[in-house]
Amino acid sequence: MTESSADDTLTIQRVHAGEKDAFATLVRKYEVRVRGYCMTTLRDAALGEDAAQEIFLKAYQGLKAFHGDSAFSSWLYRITVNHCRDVLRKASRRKSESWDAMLEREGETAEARLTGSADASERFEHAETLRRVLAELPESHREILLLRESQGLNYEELASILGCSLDAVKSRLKRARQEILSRSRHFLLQEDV
Amino acid sequence: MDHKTIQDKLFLLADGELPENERQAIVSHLDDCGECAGLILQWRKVQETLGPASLPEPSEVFVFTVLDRLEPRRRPEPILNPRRLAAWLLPRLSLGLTALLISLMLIRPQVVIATESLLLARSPEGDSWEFSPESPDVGLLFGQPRDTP
Repeated sequence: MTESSADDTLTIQRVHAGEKDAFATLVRKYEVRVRGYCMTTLRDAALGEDAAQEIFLKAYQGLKAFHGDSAFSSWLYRITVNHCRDVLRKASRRKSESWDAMLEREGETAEARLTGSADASERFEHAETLRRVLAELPESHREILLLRESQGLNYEELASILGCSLDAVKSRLKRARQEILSRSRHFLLQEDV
Repeated sequence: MDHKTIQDKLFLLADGELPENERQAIVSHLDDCGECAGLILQWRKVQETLGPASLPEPSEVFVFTVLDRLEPRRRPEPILNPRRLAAWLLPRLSLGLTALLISLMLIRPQVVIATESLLLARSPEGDSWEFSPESPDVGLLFGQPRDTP
């Protein structure tokens, strides 16, 4: 058990003992990562904030059922990933603009976002476009990319959260990276020119 | 390692998951292979965008909002809740019934004498009773001597 995980266990014991304020320690520790995951996955800051709140409420309500079989962070990430899946599935009823449709509508503008000079605003737009590419990826690819690249989780943590083997993690991660590079290669290559 | 094998392992290199000998072999390959070097460069750009720098700033407002929501809000109680009504009413009914039974047991029964029985007992004619249109002699009824003219 890592030091961080041991700290979490002690904090959870305090929450179990009735110290509700101890839960604030856990919220402070993980809120940036949970909000970050939600905001990027849902592509909406307000939706992301709401989802993150719901995730911490679910975690608090389910804390009695948490017996420390895995790290608290892995358990919380599982709630996060599942909650965002649910939100996206509910939202999928609404027709969302596809990547191809955006290219068709914006023409060269979208491409220019990824290839223009790198001042602050353009870098921001560059990031937005790349996040859009990310959002268009299959769910399993998007999840593993975010957890690895944005959250900085290692292979073992990814396996625990996603419920698969280490080999499956490596394989899925590789396919996800190839997919996002393939979809954005056109822009990224032009930027190199 | 050939070009295809190295390309398969480029992401492991980016993750720092390769043993030292393989890492060196791939790094030296990158010096000569523009395709693999380009792939690594593109991946680094994607990583920069998706990386931890993209995370939001810590927010105390968020923490307090979550803590505020931990306490479930009290729902207003229904005006007529059958369960609550029964819980309130049953003990009171039981108490009242018990008090009634106890008082019935304690109170001595009193003899009730009918007015007719009293009048017949005091009547000189015994139990004969005739209807008369005249007014009764009240003194006779109550045992006083009849007034003689």
